[in-house]
Amino acid sequence: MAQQLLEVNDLHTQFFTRDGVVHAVDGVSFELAAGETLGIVGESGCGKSVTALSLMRLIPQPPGRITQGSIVFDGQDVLKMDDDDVRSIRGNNIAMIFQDPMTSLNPVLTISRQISEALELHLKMDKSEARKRTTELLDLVGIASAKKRLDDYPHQFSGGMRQRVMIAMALSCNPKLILADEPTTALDVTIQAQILDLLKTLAREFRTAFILITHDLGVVAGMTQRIHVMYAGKIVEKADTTELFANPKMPYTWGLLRSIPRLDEHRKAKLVPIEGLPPDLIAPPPGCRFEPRCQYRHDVCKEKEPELTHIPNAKSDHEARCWGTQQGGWLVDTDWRREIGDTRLLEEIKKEVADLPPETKKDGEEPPIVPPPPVH
Amino acid sequence: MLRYVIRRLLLIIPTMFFVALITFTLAHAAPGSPFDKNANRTLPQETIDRLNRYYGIDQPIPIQFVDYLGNLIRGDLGLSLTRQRPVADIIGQGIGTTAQLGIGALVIALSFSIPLGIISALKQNTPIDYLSLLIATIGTTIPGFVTAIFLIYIFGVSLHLLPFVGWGSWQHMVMPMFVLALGPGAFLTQITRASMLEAIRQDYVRTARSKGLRERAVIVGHALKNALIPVATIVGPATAGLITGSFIIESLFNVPGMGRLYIISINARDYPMIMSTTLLYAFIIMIANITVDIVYGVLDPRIKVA
Repeated sequence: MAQQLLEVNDLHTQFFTRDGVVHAVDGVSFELAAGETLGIVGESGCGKSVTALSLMRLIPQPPGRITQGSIVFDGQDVLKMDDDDVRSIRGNNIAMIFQDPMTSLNPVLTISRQISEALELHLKMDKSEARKRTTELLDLVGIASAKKRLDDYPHQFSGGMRQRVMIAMALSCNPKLILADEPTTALDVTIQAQILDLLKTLAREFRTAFILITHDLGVVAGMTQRIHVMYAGKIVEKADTTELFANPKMPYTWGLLRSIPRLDEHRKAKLVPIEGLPPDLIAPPPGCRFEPRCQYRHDVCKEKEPELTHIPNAKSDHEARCWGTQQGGWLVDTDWRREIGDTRLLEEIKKEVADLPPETKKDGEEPPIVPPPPVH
Repeated sequence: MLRYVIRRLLLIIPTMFFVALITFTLAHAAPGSPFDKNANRTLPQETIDRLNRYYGIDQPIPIQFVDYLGNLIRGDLGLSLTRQRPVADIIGQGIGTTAQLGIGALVIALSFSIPLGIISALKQNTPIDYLSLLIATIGTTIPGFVTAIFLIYIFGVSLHLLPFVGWGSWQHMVMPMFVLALGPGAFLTQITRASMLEAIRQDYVRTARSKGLRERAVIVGHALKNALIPVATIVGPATAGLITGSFIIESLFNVPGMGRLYIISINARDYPMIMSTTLLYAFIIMIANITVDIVYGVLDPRIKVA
């Protein structure tokens, strides 16, 4: 295999909270070539954002800590670098676009200040050079009359425009990798498409690799070459994008696909939600993490955790973490569109959720990034 | 911006009118008069009547008020009824000392509270944080006059390090300024800590880190400016409070300032003195508030000062 831009190996990120250790990222491995695009998909709280923050060592510490694994970027292990070296990578070689453009920009600093800061720091530009470059960047991301808007503050921009500013900021030092963490979740649908389009075009133009993190399979469909599906801190399926949509091999992915509306289906066809709740990451289930919610489960799923392995009837680089779809499994020939699994099991899962005490019934919350301040 | 400032300054005039009206009414409503029975010198009723006539106190109160305002507009603050000297002279002597004391205390308060608040936010739940919490708790809960007596006893009476009566040299100023600074300083420490804690958890701080900025640049350049916005709102009233609120401290350390004059005038029903000192304090508070609003607009671009 050629030299990869990014190789993540057995990454474990944990949060040490008062209730116990949250295994937010639990043995994630993947790699990315220069200029390649990857989507990481999963529901809220499955460790996608924590994975991204871990790549830049931005996990708030305490309570978070990367406890195991390696992140080799451009031949160097990010986890073994000293703080100065990590800082010289942040914003320079790896840039990040955050979810909420309303809160991710500093309200009391001008747009130009916030973009040129990185230019002055990493590219050693002087003030007027940085300002000129900032204008070009704002032009590039489609801010009208960019020159006039340099000294505006974030509150004078709309949500979509602020996300454009974030993209300009991310592109400013011409990074090799952009991490886009739910970049369009906070925006309305028409703006979403524009922003995704912009991101895709510019990444291609700059030959930048990017990782797009989202809970929405619909968003990554046209955006990335490969997709990794994450569930409860682990990658449960890896495939290239067309393969994943055509031939998914993991009941969780099936569930995700069933829950997005399709244009080519009967209007009256109902969306099928995934029943149950994501597992508690303090004490995850011992077997397959999706087992408690899986309507195709067998006894083995509860006992032993499956490995991420190659799947029969699929492309060679397609891997999934499922006993059923593995060589010799009971789901190898299952057509997920027709067979929705054991309906009695489905009822059981629904009942389990209904029986839970009300306070545990919060749908997939992000793990607490910061502990609540102590009461004095 | 300029128009806003002018408008705010013009608004001082009606406010001052109402302050004057209320103070005048209340002062005269209080029982007693400046030439009442006095233990030191018992005046014959005739003399009292003559004095009342001389100072115009025998007139109906509304007429006195109109007269007072008329004189005030002409810049005449009147004569002190107990000291037989122009009020302007008396205040002129006291205001400098009080301002010195207040501004000194403000400088002390700001220079320990803001750094301490920032450090304890950054080192949350460490010994430094607890120490600052302890100082802040002491500062807010123990009244200034108690601290003052402690300090007088330790540094003045026992160690003979600092004088504790009068005003003049820097040694005279240390204790009163420190005692006066303690309360507002402690409060400002807590405000700074709380707003800094909030600021360092904001998404834009994470964004700043993701740009590769040094921690120092992240804190000073990104978090601090946001954290200071709530602090600025408190500094204004605190400043006014420091300059005007030194009655007790001035009395304890025998500082010849406005605060002491104020108390004496109220007890003596020295109407022109009460009026002038109250109006002066009202003026200082209003100027402090206007300054805060302007600073607020400068710190926070989302607030339109117009």
